[in-house]
Amino acid sequence: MTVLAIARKELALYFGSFLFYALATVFLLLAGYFFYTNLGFFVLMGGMSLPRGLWQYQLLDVQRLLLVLTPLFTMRLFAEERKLGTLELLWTYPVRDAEIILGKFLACLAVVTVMVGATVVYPVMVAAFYPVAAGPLLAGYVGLWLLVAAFIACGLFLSALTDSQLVAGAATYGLLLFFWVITWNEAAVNEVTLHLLVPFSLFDRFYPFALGAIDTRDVTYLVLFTVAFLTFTFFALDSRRWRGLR
Amino acid sequence: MLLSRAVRSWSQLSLQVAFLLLALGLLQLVAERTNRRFDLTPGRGLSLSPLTRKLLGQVTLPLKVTVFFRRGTREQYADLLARFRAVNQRIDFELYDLDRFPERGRSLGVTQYGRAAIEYEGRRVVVLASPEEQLAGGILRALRGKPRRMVFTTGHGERGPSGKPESFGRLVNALEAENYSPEDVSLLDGPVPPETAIVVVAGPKRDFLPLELDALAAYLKAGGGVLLLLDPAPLPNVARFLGSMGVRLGDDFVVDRERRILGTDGLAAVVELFKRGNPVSDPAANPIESGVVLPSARTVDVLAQVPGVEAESIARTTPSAWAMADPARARRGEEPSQAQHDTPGSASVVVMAELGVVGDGTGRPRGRLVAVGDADFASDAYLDLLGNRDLALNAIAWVAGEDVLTGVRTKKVPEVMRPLSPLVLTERQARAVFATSVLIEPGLVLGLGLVVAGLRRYRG
Repeated sequence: MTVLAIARKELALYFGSFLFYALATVFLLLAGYFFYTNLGFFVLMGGMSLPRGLWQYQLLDVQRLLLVLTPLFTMRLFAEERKLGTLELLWTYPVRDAEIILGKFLACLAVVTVMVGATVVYPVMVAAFYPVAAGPLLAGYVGLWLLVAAFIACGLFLSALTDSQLVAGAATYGLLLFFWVITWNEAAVNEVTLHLLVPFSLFDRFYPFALGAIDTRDVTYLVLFTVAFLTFTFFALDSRRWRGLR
Repeated sequence: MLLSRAVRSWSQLSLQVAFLLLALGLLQLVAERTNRRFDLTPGRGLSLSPLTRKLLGQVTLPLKVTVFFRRGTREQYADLLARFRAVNQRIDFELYDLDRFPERGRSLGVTQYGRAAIEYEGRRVVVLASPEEQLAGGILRALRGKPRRMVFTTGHGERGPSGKPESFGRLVNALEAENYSPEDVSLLDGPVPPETAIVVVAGPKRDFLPLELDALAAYLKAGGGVLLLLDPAPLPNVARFLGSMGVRLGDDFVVDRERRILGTDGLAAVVELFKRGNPVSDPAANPIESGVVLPSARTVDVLAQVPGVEAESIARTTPSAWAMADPARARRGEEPSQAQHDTPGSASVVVMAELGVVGDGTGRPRGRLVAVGDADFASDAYLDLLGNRDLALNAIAWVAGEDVLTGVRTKKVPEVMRPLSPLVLTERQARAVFATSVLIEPGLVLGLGLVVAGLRRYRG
């Protein structure tokens, strides 16, 4: 129940501030523009398959947008509270670190889910002109949701390490970007190294979802990635106690 | 004292992190080993076809696939190869950027992007590394060794791989991927060439001479395989040839007005009744689940059992079909009628037969024959309609004695870039999409944000 109370408080903060609406507007503006251009591409030369010709590109574009925007949601979670001194106040209540972490994580996940959920209007529009199979879209959105959870957990951890929102945001970008480009430069690493790196790439893990398939190993990886960073966040908060930083 | 406490705490934290990573790593390892794919695309386009799975089951020794890709395309091959390996762990693969490893490519006989060198038991085959059927075909070639000869008869207006809609270009491509080597042969020039796995008679417009049919009969008697794809046309000699085996070739035209298929001219026969458990229309492991469309069909049925021949009808049209006695009337689009001697009801359109006696002491295999009362269904225009491809390739596989190849193949959803997609938007519809996705939806969210901000300011 404490987790839900903290999540409710965070949600009220998100939905009560103009920042959320500004970020959601930017997200939807860009996602809408990408959708329009991707649809134009599909109509002109996309072939016969909606999942391969349209949804794949749209989901990959949304994934890139989320990489840019999610750190802006997560950077304030602990860093802002610590800077304003409200975190110390929170710690005076009988709540455990794990409950605070989970409450903030769930609230942020709900906020980004609402934002991503607004893009469902695109397939609904396409369905007005052409039959749309729900399966590939379901796989794509499940993948996006898991990816968002991983992004948020990563951002939460880095926000717990610093008092500066800017540092937290920039570090989250850096880390997520690292997990994106880890397999990009095929020419810079040998085949054996590439083979070892590929399983760690968040974006290679997302690719099958974008094509319309759900692999249990990718689901497991994204869930474990999230669990790992949430646990790191717990360690980071816990360490401040014995480091005398609280 | 303070220092030792800090060291102890840091050590403890390091241990906790290490244990966490170890535990998560082990969990992920288990997940990688027990991966299961849920393919949610229509037609299961991201899963290996049952046929490929069956083929991969034939790999009993280590098989190595080395793919040479163009930079930036690695993932598409890695994904496909990982799916192959997941089915059979004896399949090992490596991927190389051809620009970085041209020498390695040359040593394996690869000089172009997107090619795979498949090595098995000292044999090496170079094929396209995707799509799935090309790579699977390469593995089949590596398993078998040399390709099998497949003869298409000529001289009677038969169809060939010309690239026109009525041609058999796509069927020939699929057969090449399954390690057949097609060639054109006129039976007027002599008997069927030696080591021929199958003879295909693809939609003759003119009749065969008795001499040519004698060559076919001799080939069948020697254990050969013949596939007859016979459109409605007067072929009295061919009809007599089939009659000698107890098979009746109807001089008629099968139409099905009630089950008219979109995109056809209304003369097509729909085949939904398949004999259970036979290797052509109902392979045990992977039955054809959808019907077959025969765009211009004639009846082929078993008239009587002839000694030394085991013939059976294996596919029939739906009961709403009519066999029209005069094909010219059918082509003119006239309505079928019993007064005009047309026959209503389900009609047999595919017959399979085995010739010779099992264990006759000669050691020869039995001859195999499949006669289909239509050639259009396997042409480029109709091959990928419903179960047509599976019926055509299953028939060829059975006739050629390749029982491992009977089964459902990948659904050939056209993936080529085409000038127009099936989704067409008018200028007005496109403007509506733009307005909704780029202006209205973000605008509503922004408006809501302004209201929230205004309220907060108003409330102080």
